[in-house]
Amino acid sequence: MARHESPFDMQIKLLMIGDSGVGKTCLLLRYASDHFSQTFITTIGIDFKIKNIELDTKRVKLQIWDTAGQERFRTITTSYFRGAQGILLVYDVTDKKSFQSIRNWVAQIQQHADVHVNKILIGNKCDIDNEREVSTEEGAQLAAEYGIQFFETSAKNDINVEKGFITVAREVKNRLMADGGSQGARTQGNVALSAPAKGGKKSSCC
Amino acid sequence: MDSGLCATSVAVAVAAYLDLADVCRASMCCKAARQGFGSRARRAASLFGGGAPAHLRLRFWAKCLKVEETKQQICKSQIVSADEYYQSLLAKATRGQSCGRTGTAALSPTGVQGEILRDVCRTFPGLAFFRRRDGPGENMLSNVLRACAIAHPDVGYCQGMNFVAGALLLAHLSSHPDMTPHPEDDAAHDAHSDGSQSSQEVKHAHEVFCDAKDAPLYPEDDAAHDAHSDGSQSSNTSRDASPDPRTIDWWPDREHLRMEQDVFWMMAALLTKGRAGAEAHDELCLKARERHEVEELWLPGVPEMKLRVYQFDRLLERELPRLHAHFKTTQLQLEVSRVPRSSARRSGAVAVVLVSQWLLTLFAYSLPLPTLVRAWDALLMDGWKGVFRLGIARLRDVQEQLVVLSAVACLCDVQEQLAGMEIEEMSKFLRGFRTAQSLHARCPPEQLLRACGSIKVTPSALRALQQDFAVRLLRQHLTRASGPQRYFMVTRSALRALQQDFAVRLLREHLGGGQGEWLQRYSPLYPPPPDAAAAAAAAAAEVSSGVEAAVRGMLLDEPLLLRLKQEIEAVSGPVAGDVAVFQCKIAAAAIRQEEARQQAKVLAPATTQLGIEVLAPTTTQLGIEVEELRERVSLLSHQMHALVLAPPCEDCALSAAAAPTTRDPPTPPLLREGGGEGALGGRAI
Repeated sequence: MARHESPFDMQIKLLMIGDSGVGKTCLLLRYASDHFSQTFITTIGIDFKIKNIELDTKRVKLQIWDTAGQERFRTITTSYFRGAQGILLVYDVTDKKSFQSIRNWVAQIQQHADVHVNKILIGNKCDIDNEREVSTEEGAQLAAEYGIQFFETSAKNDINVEKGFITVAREVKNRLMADGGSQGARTQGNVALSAPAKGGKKSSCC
Repeated sequence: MDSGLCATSVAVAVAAYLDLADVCRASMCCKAARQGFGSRARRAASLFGGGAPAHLRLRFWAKCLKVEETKQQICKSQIVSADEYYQSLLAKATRGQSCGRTGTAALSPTGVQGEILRDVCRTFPGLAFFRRRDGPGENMLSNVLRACAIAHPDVGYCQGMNFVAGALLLAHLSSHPDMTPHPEDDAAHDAHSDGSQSSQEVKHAHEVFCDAKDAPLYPEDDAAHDAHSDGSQSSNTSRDASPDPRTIDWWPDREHLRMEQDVFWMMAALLTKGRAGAEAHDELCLKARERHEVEELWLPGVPEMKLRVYQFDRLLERELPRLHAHFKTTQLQLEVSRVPRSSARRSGAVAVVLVSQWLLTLFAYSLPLPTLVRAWDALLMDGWKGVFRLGIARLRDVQEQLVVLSAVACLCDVQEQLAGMEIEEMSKFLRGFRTAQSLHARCPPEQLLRACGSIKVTPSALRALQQDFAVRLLRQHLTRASGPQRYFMVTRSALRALQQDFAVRLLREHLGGGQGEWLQRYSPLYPPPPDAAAAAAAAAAEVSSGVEAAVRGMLLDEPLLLRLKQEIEAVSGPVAGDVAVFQCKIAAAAIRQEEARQQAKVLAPATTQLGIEVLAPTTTQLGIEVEELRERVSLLSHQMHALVLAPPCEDCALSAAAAPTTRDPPTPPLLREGGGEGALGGRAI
């Protein structure tokens, strides 16, 4: 079969994790459809969104997986960690507990995700300043400890949302291109992308 | 047997045109119908017929869930009335909080309460009833969920319960008597007078559900929805003065409480089912428990989920092979950086995504409410079978479109894009019909349920899959035994299936001395494919070495074996003693029997002599008497013959008929005697 021009140059799979109610779905809605709604719905299981973006002259298809945050679903959500190339760790700046459990989430990533997965820390709901329980400094400090980027966002007021997604997507893109070269990625699509990256990240089965 | 079968099939055919109430009524009408209008007929009525009529629906559900039994059981153990129990739960939930308030105001922001608090307003966000801060919907839902969490501390609160409880609340709301229009309303009055109260309730249920149906369950369409709901609200109030469920402040507290309690007990019945069954081991309970095992699904770590997903996946493979294959290829594209390790990973991304939502919320998350209540009629009756059927029926609707789509995509070589779009579309589709018009036009409940009826899911198939899954689990466990034990969950049901199989084999192998066969059974490549047996054997030896090592370790575990042996001895010891005693007794009896035979031989001539001397006169006497009796019998039978064979002229018939009656009064003893002799003679002859 003749090889047609693919509509995108690479596909990147992002995963959003964080405690229940920190606003993962809202962030995703804001980013994918530039929309914020006052009515929320509990995410049960997993949800997807696709967003095609132009990233440094590359056409990238972002496939973003939005997970349920409740503790008891971790057995299910962690099984999706493996395929993820970038992970957004989300906490709620008005909820100290959600910030504290970021450490727990990172531990989960270490256990279940690929070794080279790119991470980013996001403190959501920064528009609600009067109920803030986690300062910007604390967030930045934690991010520095893990050596990852950090943003405070507001899905409601559209602060830093796109920046956060783009940042992690760019990191992933750069890593993949450094790993596999853009040629393979361009023609073979996602499969070729992953093949070179696979060697080093054989952690454990699940 | 044949007529029973026939009656059943006729009843089933008829039931397809009836609703559940009719079927129940029919089965109560007569005993013959009860046989026919059994569970199959009820199922037919729920799937093909009208389902439960709106005004009886809640009672029917309560019956299916065995709410009364649960209530009695719990109340008996707690020695309180049902009302008191609920109150005490609420009080417990509120204790330590600021004051005696209930509802969202009393929720603390942490722990289970916090989780409930966060989710209450995120349940059915399309419905203003639940969305209003501190409104009755929120308060009632949070009360129910908190009471459940207190009553079942091991389950606590699991996301998904909010949707089930919410849907139950809505169903109660729509059938509430206060929901009927004001009595001074003319139309309402007429309806009351001819007793068709149900039609009103249907209408009102319809209104509540319309709100739900047209509202998006998903926040994306919020703007549109706001306009819609505002408009409908205003038009509603202007059209008639009926109380709107969305502005429900007018309700007395008592009514709130009653409804809350009803919903709570239904939830409690859903949750206690397993426990009730675990206590009483009779077959019925076991069956009931197998039907609804939501409890394990909602436990922390959702231990039952993988089993159910596996079952669904395999059923899907059987029922819709093309769609299943399609999912598999899609999954390959999705899971970019990973080639599936083995067939054990077959329950893929898509299947889990699909099914987890459906299972956790019993479809409350994705079906519009009018469809949902109809679906629950069937679902509560059938349990997991119903859930799987419904899920497959829904997927069958999309199968054609999806497969065609992907075929087109292949031709155009834009498959990647389509696959990507598809998964998003798919996830939208799963969250409600409205948001995915491209994939699915709105499906009327009748059509969906009819589709359900044509899908066959048997309990035995489910059980087989469950066993299959248990074996798989064990295999995984054994192969992974060397690694860190993370998230290894064994559910009760899996264990049950496993125990039987495993324990039996273990014991048999131990007692029989062989150690080969069951090792193979649990090795990853069992059963070996016939064509590639040699290759498989080599591979099996390699792969199963881990398993074997683990198992051999068990077999070489001296203390374990000793303990087993002791246990067996402990069980078999008393039996062996008994056997010895019995053997002694049997031997003694045999000896005695032999002795008796010898004696009999010796005594035989004497007995004969004795018999002749003593018994002969008596026998002669008896023989004479018998002879006499026989004569009389023959005489009587001769007379009877004459009567029967007489020509059928009227006189004779009359006289024959009259003869006994005329002769009757004066000679009753004779007749009775004759009758007795006749009977005796008959027996003798």
